[in-house]
Amino acid sequence: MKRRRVLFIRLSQFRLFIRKFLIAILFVSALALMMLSKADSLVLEKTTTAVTMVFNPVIRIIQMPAQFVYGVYEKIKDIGLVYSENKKLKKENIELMLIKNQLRTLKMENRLLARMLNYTPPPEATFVTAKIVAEEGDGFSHSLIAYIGDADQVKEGQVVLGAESVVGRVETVAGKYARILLFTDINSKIPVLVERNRERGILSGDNTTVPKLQYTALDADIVPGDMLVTSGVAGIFPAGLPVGIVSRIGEDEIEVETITDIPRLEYIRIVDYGIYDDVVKLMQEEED
Amino acid sequence: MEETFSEILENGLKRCLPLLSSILLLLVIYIPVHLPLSRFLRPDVGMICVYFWALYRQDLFGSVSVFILGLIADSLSAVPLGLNIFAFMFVYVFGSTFSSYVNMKPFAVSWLGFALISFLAFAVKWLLASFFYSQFLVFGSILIAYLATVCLYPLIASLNILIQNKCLANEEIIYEQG
Repeated sequence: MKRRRVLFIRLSQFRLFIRKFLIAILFVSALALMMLSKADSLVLEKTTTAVTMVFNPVIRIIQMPAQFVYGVYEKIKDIGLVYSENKKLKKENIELMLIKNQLRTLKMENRLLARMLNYTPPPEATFVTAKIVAEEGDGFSHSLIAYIGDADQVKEGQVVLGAESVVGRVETVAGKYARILLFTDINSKIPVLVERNRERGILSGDNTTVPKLQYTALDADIVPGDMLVTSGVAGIFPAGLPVGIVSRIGEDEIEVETITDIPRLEYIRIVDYGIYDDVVKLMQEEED
Repeated sequence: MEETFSEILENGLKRCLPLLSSILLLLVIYIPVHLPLSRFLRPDVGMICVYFWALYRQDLFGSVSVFILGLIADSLSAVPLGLNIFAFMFVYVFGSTFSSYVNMKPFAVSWLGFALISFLAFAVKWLLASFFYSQFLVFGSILIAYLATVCLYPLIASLNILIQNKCLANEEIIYEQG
């Protein structure tokens, strides 16, 4: 009698198995991806970067007609404001000229004093202005995608400023695009201090529009209206950048209002203070 | 009869049309609108598309298409990779189960079904994300996104019905226009 060979699973049986359990396999894959993304897998990072590189140009193209209509509307709106804006700007210009003269004197004085102390100044910050091409924000995450073009100097971790204050940091760079993690996102934790009295705390995003100030001293003297600035601790953000204003002090939490109107943001500045690389290098050295 | 190259191409494109149109609609929602409420009222268009095609054209929109759509949604946003895939798969499984019941019923029935299934999907998404971040996410803003998604369902469904009836109508017509 001839024996049947049953050493390997037949391809047709394998296909049948896959077809039968495909949905279960995909569910398990989704959960596995979540677990892997918690572990910051390099392969997953590359996958998301590739997808971002493919689809961001599409978003940029499909938004062009809408951007055109919005641009025309903004221009018409601006025409009505030209006269009053001009008057205001002229007044501001006079004030700024006075400040400029004062600054020039202070700069000279500072240079002389620095020379006397043999002080080495830190490198000056450089920045890239980028246009926002996509935004997303709901209860699950808050981020933006900006077009950076051929700007090579944009790197992960760099500070992102809006018109008046910090809005977040660069999370990933994918070709000509960068994803910006807003400071209202749940993953964002910024060490800050109250400008008035140097009380320290951590500004934590929670996927709402009002991030919370946490880890403050129990007897901390904080009142609504206090300005929060970056403390510089942890090395990601340099010290002294405005972040938000305390808006409400509840029983368990301190709510903070953003200074920059994030929904109306069209352009951002990605600033390289030249400290992030040094911090990463130091951390790597410490790990080794 | 043998198919010509153009026929093969046309049929291939038709088979991909539900996925391609869903990707396009998904991308449209990422366009910055510069409105104060835009950060709250961001509907989950992907979920609507998955539900719609699971109800009416499972033959053209399989579980792999759902996975791809979820992967794109996850990659473009800052959520943990896999979160949208899981939620979309959840909607797909329930949508396809619900499919035979909804067939030939008024549009309101499928809308009601979506309101129910998407609520469960948002709740699952919330639980998974809370587990991932080891803290409960604020449910209020998620509820607003859910309501925006349910309200947008008729519009996105109408676009999908148009695609189905204009481009894929050889097989069946979902709703007669007008």
